Amino acid sequence: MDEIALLAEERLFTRDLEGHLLRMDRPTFEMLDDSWVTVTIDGRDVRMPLAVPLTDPEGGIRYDEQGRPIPRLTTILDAVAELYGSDPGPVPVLCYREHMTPVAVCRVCLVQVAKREKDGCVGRPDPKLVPACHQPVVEGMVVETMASRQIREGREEMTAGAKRVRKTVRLLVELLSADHLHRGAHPANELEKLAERLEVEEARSSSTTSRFPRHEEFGRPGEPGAACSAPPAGRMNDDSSPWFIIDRTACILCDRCVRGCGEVRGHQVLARAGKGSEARIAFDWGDAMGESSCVRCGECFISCPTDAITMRPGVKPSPWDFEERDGDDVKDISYLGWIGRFLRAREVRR
Amino acid sequence: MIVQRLHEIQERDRYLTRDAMVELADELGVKLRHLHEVASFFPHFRLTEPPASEVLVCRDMACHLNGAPALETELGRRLSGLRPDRVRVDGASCLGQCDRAPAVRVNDRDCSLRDPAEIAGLVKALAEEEVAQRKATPPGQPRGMSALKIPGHGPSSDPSGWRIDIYRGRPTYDVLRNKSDGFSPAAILKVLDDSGLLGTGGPGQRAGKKWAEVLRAPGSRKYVVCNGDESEPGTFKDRELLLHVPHLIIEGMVFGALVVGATQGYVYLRHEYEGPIASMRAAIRDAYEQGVLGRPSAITGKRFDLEVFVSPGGYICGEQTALIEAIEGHRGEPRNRPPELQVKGLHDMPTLLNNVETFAWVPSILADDGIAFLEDGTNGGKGRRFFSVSGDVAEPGVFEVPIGTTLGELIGLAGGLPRGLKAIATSGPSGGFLPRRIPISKLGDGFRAKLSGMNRALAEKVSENAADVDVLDLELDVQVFRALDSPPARVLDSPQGRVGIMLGAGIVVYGEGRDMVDQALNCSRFYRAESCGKCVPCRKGTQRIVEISERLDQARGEAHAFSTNSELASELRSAMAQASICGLGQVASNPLLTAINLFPDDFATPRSPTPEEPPTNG
Repeated sequence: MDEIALLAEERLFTRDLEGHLLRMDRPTFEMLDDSWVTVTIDGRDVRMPLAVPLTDPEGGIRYDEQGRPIPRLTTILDAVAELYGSDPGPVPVLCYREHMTPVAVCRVCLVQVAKREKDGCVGRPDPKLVPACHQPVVEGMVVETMASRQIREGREEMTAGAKRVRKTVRLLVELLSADHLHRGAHPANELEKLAERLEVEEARSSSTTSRFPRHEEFGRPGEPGAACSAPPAGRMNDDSSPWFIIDRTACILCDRCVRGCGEVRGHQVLARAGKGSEARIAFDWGDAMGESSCVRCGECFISCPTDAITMRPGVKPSPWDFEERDGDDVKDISYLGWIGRFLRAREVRR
Repeated sequence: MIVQRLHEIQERDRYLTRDAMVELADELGVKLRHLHEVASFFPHFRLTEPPASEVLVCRDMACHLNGAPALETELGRRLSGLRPDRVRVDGASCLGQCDRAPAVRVNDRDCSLRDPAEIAGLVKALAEEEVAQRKATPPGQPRGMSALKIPGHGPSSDPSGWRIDIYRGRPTYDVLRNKSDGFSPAAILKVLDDSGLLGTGGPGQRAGKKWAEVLRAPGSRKYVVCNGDESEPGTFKDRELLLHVPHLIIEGMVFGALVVGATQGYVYLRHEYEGPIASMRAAIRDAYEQGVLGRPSAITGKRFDLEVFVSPGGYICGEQTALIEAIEGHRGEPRNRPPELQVKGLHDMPTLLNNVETFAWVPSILADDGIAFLEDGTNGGKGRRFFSVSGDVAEPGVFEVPIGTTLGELIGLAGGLPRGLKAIATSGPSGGFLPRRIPISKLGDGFRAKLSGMNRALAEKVSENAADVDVLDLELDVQVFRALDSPPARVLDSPQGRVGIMLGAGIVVYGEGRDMVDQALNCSRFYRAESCGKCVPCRKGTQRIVEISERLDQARGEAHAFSTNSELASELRSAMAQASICGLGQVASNPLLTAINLFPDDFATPRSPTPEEPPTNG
């Protein structure tokens, strides 16, 4: 088939100024300090280094064995944060975490990009919107977020680009809310906050006025689309762990828990499984969490932006609790680091 | 490596048991979760014990038109007395047998039987045999060979008139032998470029340009990969090329390897193509014997190794970056682009990826420096290409035609239209449906001027004040279709009213009386089943497009339901097109949107009883 690639023409920033295809990897140490580009965001110019230091979950800079900061490519999102500050900023995120490899799957950070030609004119915008968390900055890039404004006949109004971005992102959030935002969501639920911000709360799954009435998640047996051969074990809710509860109906498949488990902690217990509308998070060979090789480090819980991974009521993480609950299960975690981050995460989630 | 091992284990144990996977994880030094995320992604891999016997009926397009739903129901009825652990009857996504609709697979083999009684009898006998074998053979011991034969198909087309095969079926690799002395990549690239050969799988980019980009890309290793996934409903021309002329594909790939400097190649084939897989493997063995492949090649002086990679299934794997992910042993999910494969492909190395047919054209083009190929077009087109034609035509099949041949002429080759013409899909489901007469108002502005600038005959046939274009007059040429669909910035505006006209290799014909609401629903379900689920717009959007199609189907004739659901579909389409990672999400709404735009009457009339013949004798 790559018939489906028919519309996937080359994107605007696929090539460098000489017309060579970009590999978009291998940031060098020099890029951290010596290579700067100017991009335009919502009409204002921002100068950015081509690379910024990689950070750890606490926000500290990560260094290589020689004590040099490890570079990663600067993205549009970095440039937006430089211009607007990062909280909340005009570009929302769900699947993005600064210390994780961007996967660009939720698409709520989409922005419009165009190219400033050598004569200074701005060309036609890319027909596709690009994920700000994943797209590296390139000299001459002209970005519009949903905050982009123009003055027309003395009145400030959203630009066409801003409207386009907002309309698209809003629909994506509406689709996610319709399936995964339930009544009584935690107030710190990031999807809930985003739904409020984009005014699509009426789309939540319990709503009777939603344009997208709730459907059975994971497909109905025997229906086309339920064609995946996954085992039923661990498909929906999972309360097998003494500490955590998994509610897959609240899961938006942002992959943050998976990267938390694999990339950040190195345990590699959690992964995405299944395909299409049947895709879900799973432990080991689709095992129940409590029967898997999970060490209960809590990274998945800290990483989860929704109510898909929550702590059991009554479980109070404190160093003393850990001592009492100690055992092989939790031997490889740094208690204090975990507690600190857990409490911070709670702060954030409140 | 992972995918090949999973294939072997499933072949041995019938499914992937947890114990075998724990062992494999240990052997390969990977985590269990990795095997699970990969195995659970691909439809071919089974994670639970399968029934003793299994029959699948294709659901898509031509099969849907030709009695597949009735056949599946009938088989279910006939086999309903058996326990679910004995027999399973199910639907499947396009099996690449659209010219033999409705396509059937029994126990992972193509099955040529069409009579429900015969199929049910075979499936029952296979189940009984399997149960008996299970009792007789202790677990872990090799099973005896089955005494029952599942009758399959051979090739359907006659290649004797194909100009692509300069060897007339006897592969001597003469072009390669002739060009090996003083081999010049630049000269090869020039011929390819001058010939205007376009990629025949996807967007129709110039093949020579892609080759030059991989040549120029720096990399310690390079790869050549042939996309033979061919899972687009209505498309089966690569199947015939693989069966008849695998040597041309190999020779084209060797030329690719010599030009870009690659040492390893893969032919990626869908697992349902057991015939083409066998034929390609035999041709590869022969090429090794002739010294075309392997080290050191007696002919080229360079090393190039080539093997078949059997896909574990899924339409999405035809998306080129998803295909690369699958070869690497990952979930077949498309990558965010850029970077492009030409600079960062398989194992992050520069990779030349072309469709089966693109590689297969290379030898005949290089044989005479592209002269015959260039002269071969018609109506202003240049070159030749293959099309698969299926649906409501008298003799569905695969045809090699000059580029610029009209749709009407192609349908003539396929035996004509026994039940008249209501609609044509010109790119499998991806471009949606075109009506017999396409209103000018739905076409790109200024297409007439563009066509006459390109010297296309169609420009003459459409007069200044014509209200519509006869779909049978459309010339089978990517450039003509692009002109009809311009301006290209359509995605920016509301797509309402603009047809997503596309030309692929799969032409599916719908006769008079076919219900386009039903067809739109059918194609929308295909995309839902085949979405990989990676990005939100496609995972959620394909589901909602199906629901909207179902609502429109239920609420026929209700003007309010039609307008609200059409608007919602249009809004979804716009978001899916702009936000999805790959092309699947971009085109998934085309069948529904073109049905709404071009066949609105079908939504206003009650569902017509399916005008199809019931399966033969009950």
